[in-house]
Amino acid sequence: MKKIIIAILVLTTTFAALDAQVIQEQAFAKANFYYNESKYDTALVIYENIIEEGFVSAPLLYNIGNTYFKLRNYPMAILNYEKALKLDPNNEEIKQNLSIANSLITDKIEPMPVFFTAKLWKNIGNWQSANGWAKTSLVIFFILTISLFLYFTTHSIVIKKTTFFINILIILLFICSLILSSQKYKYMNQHNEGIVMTPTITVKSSPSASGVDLFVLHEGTKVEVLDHTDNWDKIKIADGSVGWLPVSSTVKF
Amino acid sequence: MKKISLLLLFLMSLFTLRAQDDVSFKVISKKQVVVGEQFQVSYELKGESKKFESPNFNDFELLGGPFSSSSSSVQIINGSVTKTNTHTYSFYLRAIKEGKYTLPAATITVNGQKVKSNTMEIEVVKDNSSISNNTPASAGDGGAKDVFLEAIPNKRIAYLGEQITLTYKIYYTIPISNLTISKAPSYSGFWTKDVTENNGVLQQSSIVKNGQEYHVATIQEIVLIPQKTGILTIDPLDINCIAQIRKERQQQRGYDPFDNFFGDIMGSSYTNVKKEIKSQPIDIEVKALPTKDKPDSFKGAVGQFTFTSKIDKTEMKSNDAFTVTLTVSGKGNIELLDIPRPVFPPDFEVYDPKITTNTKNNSFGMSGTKKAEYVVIPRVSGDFSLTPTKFSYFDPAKNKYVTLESENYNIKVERSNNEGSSGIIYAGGQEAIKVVGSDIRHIMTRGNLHKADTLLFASPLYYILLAAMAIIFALALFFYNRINEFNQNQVLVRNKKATKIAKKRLQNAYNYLKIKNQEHFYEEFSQALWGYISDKMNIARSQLSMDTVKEMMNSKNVPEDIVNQFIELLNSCEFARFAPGDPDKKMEDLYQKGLEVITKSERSLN
Repeated sequence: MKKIIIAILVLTTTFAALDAQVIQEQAFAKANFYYNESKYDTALVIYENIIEEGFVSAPLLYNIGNTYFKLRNYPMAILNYEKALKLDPNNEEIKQNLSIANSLITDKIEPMPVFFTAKLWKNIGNWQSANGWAKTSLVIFFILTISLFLYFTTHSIVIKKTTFFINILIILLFICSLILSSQKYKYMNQHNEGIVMTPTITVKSSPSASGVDLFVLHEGTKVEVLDHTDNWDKIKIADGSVGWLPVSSTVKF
Repeated sequence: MKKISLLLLFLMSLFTLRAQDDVSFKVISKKQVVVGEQFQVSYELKGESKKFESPNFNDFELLGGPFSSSSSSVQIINGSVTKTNTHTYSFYLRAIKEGKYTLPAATITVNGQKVKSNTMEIEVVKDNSSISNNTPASAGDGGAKDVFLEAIPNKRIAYLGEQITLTYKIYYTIPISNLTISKAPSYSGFWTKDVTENNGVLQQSSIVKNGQEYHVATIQEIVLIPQKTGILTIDPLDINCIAQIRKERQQQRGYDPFDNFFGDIMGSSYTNVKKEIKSQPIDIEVKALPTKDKPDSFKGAVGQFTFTSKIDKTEMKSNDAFTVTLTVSGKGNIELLDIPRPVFPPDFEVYDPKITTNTKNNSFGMSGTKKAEYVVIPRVSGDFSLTPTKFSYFDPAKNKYVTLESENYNIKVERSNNEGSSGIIYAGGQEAIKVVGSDIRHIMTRGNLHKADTLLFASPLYYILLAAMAIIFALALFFYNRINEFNQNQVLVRNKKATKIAKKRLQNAYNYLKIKNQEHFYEEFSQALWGYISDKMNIARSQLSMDTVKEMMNSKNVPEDIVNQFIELLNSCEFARFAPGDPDKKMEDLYQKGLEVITKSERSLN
């Protein structure tokens, strides 16, 4: 009896969750309709409401970015594109629109060259989203169990020898996928990147208003937050320059 | 010594006298001014001066000063040289109220001595000639105003870009002539156009205003188009005219006995008076255009318009020019509006448009037509369509934006003989794709929504899945081993039972032998042999053949003679099954051999 009640509870909660998802998908379609009708304000309200309901996805954030773009709010567009890219790091459309939006803001920063191995590792990491890597690690683990099973049960020496090497390879792959998953997991959970939202702001040499003015940033510029005090963020921009900004001048993602 | 000192004293007194003679410091001004009039008061000093102290003009309004100026003149008369320096300190004052006042004396230091100027009486009289300095509103008191100017805007609240007609009318009861505009307002914040239609001749009419009959004439009509929002003030218009005024002696200034005399002789008592009249300043509130529902194609046109388009031909050969004309006509700021540029296909060569404006201005405002003529040359053949051009304007009467569209034209361009050879454009025969516009990529249609913060990695589900797979793996391995073990046991059991079963079968065969059932005997006998091998070697019966049996027995180190005996038995058994009719003796022999072989091989197989 108890089991049945639990089963019913589990089922109803799942259905409720599914139902909420269907409702939000409908809202998403409606917002898309308004976007196509060039009613960007209305579309934006509906999109933002989906976020408030606790749902998220790369296409949703991308569409919000597009809506802000059409409303000529480029910093918010960039923020949402960046958020979308975080969820779906390899999406060409998001990358394309982000670069267009970045070309319309005031600051043009020449990025610091990255060492090619770091770049390669980053690119490999970008093959999949965080959940994608987690799933990949699970799949590799599954393959590993099958391969190990084969290794332990086979009578053929040839199969045993080949599966031995295959197992080593799969274990290495599994470790890689675990590392990537955990890196992605950390990246998703830490919000140490931000977009400048103040039209113009001076970066200081120390976390106080009396600090020396180092350089000036404008809205829409992406910064990396290295450290922070109560009211100040230590930030780094793409060309490697470091300084302090008031916490309120950027929105973190 | 005394003499010298006396002489010095005399000389000094002489010098001072001389200096006193040279210095003259006096005030110069008009004797009579009118209330509100600006006038100049100058203190003129002849001689060298140092420190000028301004007097206090308590009874007047000081508008500016002191402004100092100096001049010097040198006179040579009969060889004697006279040098005169003149310093003038000027003040600009305005009389506030009527009465008699004294212009105060100024003080100046000359050669270390303070010198005071003289004072001067000045009379401020009431102004009765220039009536129209005041607003017409105050003209009601007994028809005191015989000439005044009024500025009449057709509206006082207007939208940005909406045209306003401002009419200046002069009202008069006395004859006036020689109207000249002495100062026109600057109309700052407006685009203006003079639309006066009088051709220099005033059309006069009569009107009763404030209980008095006036002649009215329109002096000027101006179309104003506000260019910025807020409250804009139009400065007064100043007009000079000569008015013929009936003489009223006691209050006339500049009384002229001759005029009076002649006036009386001629039977008239009028005099020509120069008058300066002003209109009242006007405030106009300019509202910004509503931002709500403002179309993208709106470019500042305000009024009522129609928008038409014309094309001279829709079928042509490539490199043949055609003309597209867009016309905006109507009432409004026609001279200021822009005709939208149509979007032509990128392969069309479009020249800058020829824009002609034809406006008609009257007191109802500005109206007319504006035309943009585009000469277009299609460079390639094909079917094209000219998408409609949108023109938007704001209609202040309806208080909303109106968008008009031009017609949609389908243009058919046929290939002309020299299309390919026009050379200049298609030099290589190929061209890069022309980027007509750039935009962001379109939105995505599939939401793929999921709950926020659902990260798989390090979540309970992740660990559960990992653990589940590990457990399944372990269980699978465990059961595999168990089943394997069980099978091994099965083999062992079969191995153990092999002899027993074979002997049982042989026994059966022997029974058949007794009842002389040859067929069943051979069947049972071969079953016994094959079954024995199959159980012993753990090989399915179907996989057995003579060769495999031999091979298997060899691999198990069964002695060669037993193997041969076994094979021979199997062979003869097979042979006997298909060639029946053997004597019972032989079957008996076969049975005995079978028993012997199984017992022998049993021994060597274990």
